Amino acid sequence: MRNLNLYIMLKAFSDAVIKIAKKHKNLVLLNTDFSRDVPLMDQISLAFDDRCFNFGLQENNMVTAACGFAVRGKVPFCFGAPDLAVKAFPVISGMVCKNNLNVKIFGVEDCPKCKNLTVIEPKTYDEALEAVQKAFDEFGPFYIKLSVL
Amino acid sequence: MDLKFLKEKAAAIRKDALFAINKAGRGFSGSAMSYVEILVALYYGGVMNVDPKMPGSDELDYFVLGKGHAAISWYAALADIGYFEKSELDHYQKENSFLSLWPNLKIPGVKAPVQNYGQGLSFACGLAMSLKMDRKPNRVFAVLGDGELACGQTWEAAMSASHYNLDNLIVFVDNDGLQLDGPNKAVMDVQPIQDKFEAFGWKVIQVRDGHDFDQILDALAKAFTTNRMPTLIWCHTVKGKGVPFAEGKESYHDAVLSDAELKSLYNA
Repeated sequence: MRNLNLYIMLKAFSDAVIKIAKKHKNLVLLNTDFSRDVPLMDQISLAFDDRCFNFGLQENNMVTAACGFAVRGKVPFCFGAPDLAVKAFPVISGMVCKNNLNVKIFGVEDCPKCKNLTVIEPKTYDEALEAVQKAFDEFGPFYIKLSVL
Repeated sequence: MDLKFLKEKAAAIRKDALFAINKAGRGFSGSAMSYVEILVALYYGGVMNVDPKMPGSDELDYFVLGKGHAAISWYAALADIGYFEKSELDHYQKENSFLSLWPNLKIPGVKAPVQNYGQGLSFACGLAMSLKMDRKPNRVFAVLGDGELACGQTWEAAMSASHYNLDNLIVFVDNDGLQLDGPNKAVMDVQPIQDKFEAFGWKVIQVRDGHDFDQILDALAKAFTTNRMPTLIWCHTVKGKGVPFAEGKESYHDAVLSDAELKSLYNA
């Protein structure tokens, strides 16, 4: 059941990304060796190859680099292991949130509280679609916790 | 390039930075002195594309300071170029002033709010990757301290820079050999810098005297012809350069020069 829920959440993430990326060229996708776990990632990679960057297992490096993308007007979507927010927390708190940068983080586990950080916890496919769209539309740091019941 | 002009600019920036630190009562005088020639070569030597009339423009080159604790020299250069009023330096680190100890995005001319050691190179990589993605010709220049080479994240970034063939990224290491607790060699040996970066897929150019404009500008000319790999310009520098009694002394890393010391330097 847990795996099915995770699949539904990640499918919503993929569907939303494809929809947004087709329209907006400033969406970039950064991930830490996690793209194979995301449904439709092969489609995303094929369609938006120049906007997908894999950082291996470098969570802190990826989120800091995302800040570099963000100051140039890109909207970086960072995803990786379920506990990405915990692993990269020094950067999320010390750079992303402190400077109110337009960086979006996606994970499964809880993210510690942080000033300026908007946290959304969608529980269904539709809520997840809406959350990803909202994260793209609104400026500032977002953490989307893809809930797995 | 007019060397006399560059030397005068370096001297003026040093003076402004030292006085600002003195007024703030807190700062990193020794650290702020060691990279002044690198800064001047980039901003005044016709290297970087800068324009104080368009501080937010994406058409200009980007500068990232990894050793942000020493940003006061950068601020002094930005003020001199015209990004903001020079009088603002008198309010360095004061409440309500945008000139914080570490750089932030409120400062005109600053696009890299790096406020922690080891994050500068990652941030510079993000900028360089996004510029390459957009097929833009701008470059990213970064200055790292030698102490921050001990941070693991610097090496994560070094790996990703070569993986993504970031030939629009030129990084200086300000290698004065000293950090807060003493010589790098005793605290955490960062050598051999050249071998390490070459092993990570970088082109490394060594500058024997990081206070010699000819050598710095020569190295930059070589860096501009590098293809499909990032460049590291390894500069041998002196902590506290330009302040005779502070040169090469670790005790001046985070020192504030007293009024008497400033008077002896400038007869002020």
